[in-house]
Amino acid sequence: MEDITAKTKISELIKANPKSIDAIASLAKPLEKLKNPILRKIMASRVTIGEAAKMGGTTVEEFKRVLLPLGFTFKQETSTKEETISEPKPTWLQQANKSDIDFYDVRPIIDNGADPLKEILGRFKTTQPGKILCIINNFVPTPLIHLLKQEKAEDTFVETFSDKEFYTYFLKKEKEASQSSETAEEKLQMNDEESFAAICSHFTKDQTKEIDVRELEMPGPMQLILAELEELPVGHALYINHKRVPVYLLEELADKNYQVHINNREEGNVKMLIFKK
Amino acid sequence: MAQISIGKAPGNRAVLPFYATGAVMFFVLCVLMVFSPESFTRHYFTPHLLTIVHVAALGWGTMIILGAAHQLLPVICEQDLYSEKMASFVWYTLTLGMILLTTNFWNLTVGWVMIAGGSLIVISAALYLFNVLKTTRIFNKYSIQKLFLVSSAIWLLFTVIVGLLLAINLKFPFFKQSHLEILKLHSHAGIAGWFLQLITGVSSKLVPMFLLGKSKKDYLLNWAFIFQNLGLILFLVDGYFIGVSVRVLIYAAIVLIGVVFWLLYLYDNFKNRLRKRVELLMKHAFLSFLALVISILLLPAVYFSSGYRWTMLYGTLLFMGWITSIILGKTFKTLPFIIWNDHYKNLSGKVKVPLPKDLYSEKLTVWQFRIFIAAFLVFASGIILQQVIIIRIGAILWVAVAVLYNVNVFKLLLHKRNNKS
Repeated sequence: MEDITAKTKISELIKANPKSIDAIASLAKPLEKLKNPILRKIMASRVTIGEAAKMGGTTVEEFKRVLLPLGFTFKQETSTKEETISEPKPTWLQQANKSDIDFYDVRPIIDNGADPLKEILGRFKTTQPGKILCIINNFVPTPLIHLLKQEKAEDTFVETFSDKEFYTYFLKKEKEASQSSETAEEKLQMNDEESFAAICSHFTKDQTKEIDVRELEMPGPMQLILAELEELPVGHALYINHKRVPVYLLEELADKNYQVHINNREEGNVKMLIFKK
Repeated sequence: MAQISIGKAPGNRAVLPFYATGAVMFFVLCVLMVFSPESFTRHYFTPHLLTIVHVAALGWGTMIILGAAHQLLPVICEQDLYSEKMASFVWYTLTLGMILLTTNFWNLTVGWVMIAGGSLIVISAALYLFNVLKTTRIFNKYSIQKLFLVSSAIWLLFTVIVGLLLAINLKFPFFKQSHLEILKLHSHAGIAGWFLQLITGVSSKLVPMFLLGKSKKDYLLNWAFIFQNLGLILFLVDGYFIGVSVRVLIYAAIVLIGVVFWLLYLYDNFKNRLRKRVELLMKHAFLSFLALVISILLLPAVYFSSGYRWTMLYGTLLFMGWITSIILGKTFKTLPFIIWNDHYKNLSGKVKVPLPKDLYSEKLTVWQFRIFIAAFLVFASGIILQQVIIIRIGAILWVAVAVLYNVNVFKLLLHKRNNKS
């Protein structure tokens, strides 16, 4: 794990060499957050080098400069293009009235050396379903985007005004209430092989990640499944080979609005497909 | 594929009768306390209290724990239960033995019936130990949790053998030591050997599963095992050969260190947990551990004070605080899954199925928890003040807890699959 690319997660760097914390923190003020163990937990596992460079307002080259002395070697990506192509605004943002958007400038909080995460989450809680919260910041709050996308945000969009000013829009999910009132029965299905295969065919090979947890000792399977779901992109599904129906996991998944399909083929051979609606 | 040992769940007969009987006996226990509140203001060796304690220890605690253990052994050991027949047979011997024993304690009818009851319980413990040894296969594949399961089963057998000897001793006195001294050894082998070590072992496997957290500090459990056993063994040896003396406080301190190591391990799991919502089970578990720690810290008062209030409070903390609280919480973390597996695991087609937690009333468990706290506090106050009327009010609250618990347990046991889908 000494070969790294712009897509390498910060947490992997730290795992390989704890010295990288200080090295990265030295690059830019926003990245000093890494020194705080709690924030590190939130950020490091979710952010790649490329994303961190954007957040810190620096470049992957800079990262190279400080990481090479620590024994890492950079592998050239086939395309090292900086992702600065400005995407078009999504329709939900184009159609939104100014009054539907709650603008929240967190730069003063950051300048005071505090972490605005709590305030942002609190503010997003009060955002009406279907309305938009816009966070104004001096870097792209990648961890926040990941965090809210998993839970309450339908979609997000980042608008770059300058390298010191980013507007990040979060669209609050429309049907919070109706989604949570959805009975458990709609989230959990026992399938036979045929109907299970039908469900699986909704996802292409590229959209399906397959894992096998049969060899893992408890509670390993559960941990791996949850870790994989964290990483699962929207619209993708996780296909699991299990040796039993993981009953303790079912409620956790239902709470998080996952759809779970189980095909119990025989004792010791259970197939599962999990995806978000 | 062939290398995988499944550890499939045992059949219901090895599990569910234990839960049903345990729930009913919990109710019986609380009713007995309503009828005999004055037992808690007298010496600890009285027929009624003897009955109450044994209903609590055998009918309630051991009954539920054996049912849960049969269910969880395959999970913990990744092995099928060695003998399901043996497991369900244990229910007959334990239930019958417990009934014979406790009914004969009520008026202290010593003799062959009581001895027969004790013998049946010894048979139950021996069969259970055999099943545990065979299922854990601890000599092939070691883990600290298995060690706790085995050691606790050995202590259970030891405890009930001493209990049987005591029952014989009532009819045909043969112990050179005082009967009451041996009784202390018997009860503490049960508390610190059977209950403590089983709960330590099982919780250290289950808590990570419930909290979705994992501790890497297994060495804490090794130390827990050493200290819990060291304290208990020293206490038993010293108590038997020399007599129970002030040195018991040293042994209690050693056991307490063992308890602290275990709780530190659980705390480490709690810190690393992914499931952030603090569930009722955790609250129950927390109160349970609190009661355990307070009870051990109370021992100097039990030893040095005259009167019975601290002894009674000690016993109440252990049985109604520690053991009852952990069972009240854990039942709804085990039984719903057993019932769910039974009804839904093998369904196929395109069936929408409920979640395990939909099979019982969560609302009732919330009230169960609240009334449990009230019952414990009122009951304990009555004991501290030695006021029979307050003890009785506390016992009535206990009955309310038992009713709620039974409603939910039987709601689960009698669950009917909805075949609409």
